Amino acid sequence: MSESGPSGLSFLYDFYKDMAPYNLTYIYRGNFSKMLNEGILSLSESNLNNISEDTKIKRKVYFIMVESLQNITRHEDKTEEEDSGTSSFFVIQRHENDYLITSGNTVENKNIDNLREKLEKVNNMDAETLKEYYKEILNNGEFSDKGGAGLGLIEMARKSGNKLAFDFENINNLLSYFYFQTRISKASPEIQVKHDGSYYFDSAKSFHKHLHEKSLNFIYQGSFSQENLKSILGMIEASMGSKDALRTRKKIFNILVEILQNIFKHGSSSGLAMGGKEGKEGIFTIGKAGGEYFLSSGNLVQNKDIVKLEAKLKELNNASAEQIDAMYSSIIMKESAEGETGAGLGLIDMKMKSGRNLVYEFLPRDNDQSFFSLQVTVPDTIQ
Amino acid sequence: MINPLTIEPTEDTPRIELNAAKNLFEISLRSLPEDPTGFYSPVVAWLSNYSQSPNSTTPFSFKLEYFNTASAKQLLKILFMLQDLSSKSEVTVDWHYEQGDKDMQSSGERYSKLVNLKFNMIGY
Repeated sequence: MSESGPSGLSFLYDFYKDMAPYNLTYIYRGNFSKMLNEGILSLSESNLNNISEDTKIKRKVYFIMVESLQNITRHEDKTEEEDSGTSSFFVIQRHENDYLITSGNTVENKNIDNLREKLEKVNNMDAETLKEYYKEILNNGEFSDKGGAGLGLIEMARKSGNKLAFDFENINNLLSYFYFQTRISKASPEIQVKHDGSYYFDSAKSFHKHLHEKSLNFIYQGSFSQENLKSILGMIEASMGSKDALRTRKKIFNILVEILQNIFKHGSSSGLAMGGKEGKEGIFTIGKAGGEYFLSSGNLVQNKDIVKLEAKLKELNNASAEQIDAMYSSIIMKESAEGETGAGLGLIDMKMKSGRNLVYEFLPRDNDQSFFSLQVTVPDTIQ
Repeated sequence: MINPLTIEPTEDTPRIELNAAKNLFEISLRSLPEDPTGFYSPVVAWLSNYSQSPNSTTPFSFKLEYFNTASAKQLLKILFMLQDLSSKSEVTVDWHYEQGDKDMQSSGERYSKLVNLKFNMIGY
């Protein structure tokens, strides 16, 4: 049932299942910039609004996201451009009553002791002591040379009400990778019995390793809607540097719109994940390897629709460029009068713009539904 | 004369300027709304109104950076309206595309084959 590329697509379903306990997960791995941070914040804002979250929680989540993102850009010790597992990393997840915000970046080994000491100090304080300590630092003006990471940490601890989770993994003589997680609980910490912090922390760390293995830069799992699409586009645009040819950027943008709109227009709605009142559930990833971009989506489809969908995909993959062009024309001719019905025009467009075969896979889930993975390659167009 | 129609752009909808007095007809920037039929309905209404007593010439410009497949159908619908209009007014279509943007260029070429209108392909 599959026609899968060299890398295979089953990783999408694996991610989807791993992330199923979460109502929302999105992950970015790469170089961070102010523009990108704004994109990330806008994406989470639209998600928080979508689920009509309590304003107090929203404010906390937002505050901690800003601090974490600023910590990455301020403190990441930039080493090299190319991906060797040292790219920075940011995750936000929602799990029932908790928001988990995880960041990862390299730090110089010589700075670890100092950082660890600060974190442990904060973790050993109760709410009252933290408040006093905050005032004391504020008054004494005890700032670190990189702009007061101390205060940021205290504020994060105070707002989250939970212990800060952190870990250092050695990379080489000079550098280590610093993982840092803040957890914001909607219910008071005393009623949190289901998971202790280490469950969330280990899960976020393992996502980071999988992303690196699969050369992925972005994962979004949750509900898909036009609002999210706009934020995702903003984020992707911000994350693509000027190194990428304008043409490549346009192609990615175009294909992205079709892939995401495909999920929320045609995806089957009962996903593994819960929550998300609006929009369809699914997963979307972007990866880059060998100068090419790979845009992949995964969502549930009704088993009864598979035969038709697969036939369409096969037809497209076997068609010449001229035939594809003719298919496109004939569909818009037929449908311009009737409004939209979307008989695979999105798929035709993706195939046309990619110029490569569409890679896809159907993995049976139960009697009614299967998981449909689709991957579109965007070749490097610099010629 | 029919009142001009101006719609300011958003992240996912284009800028529209239809102004009979200035003889200016333009759709620009991005078009990727979820519901293009709804978005373009004022444009369709305006054109049908304008077609009652059009100017002697109607130079219509498409200056789009991106459009989604759902918008593609609406653009064709507009082109068909312009085709009907061409019995009363001299209609030309200026299809702008960024130099090197083959996708946008071929979209224009495809449309030019689907309707019977004078198309100018303009690379910028």
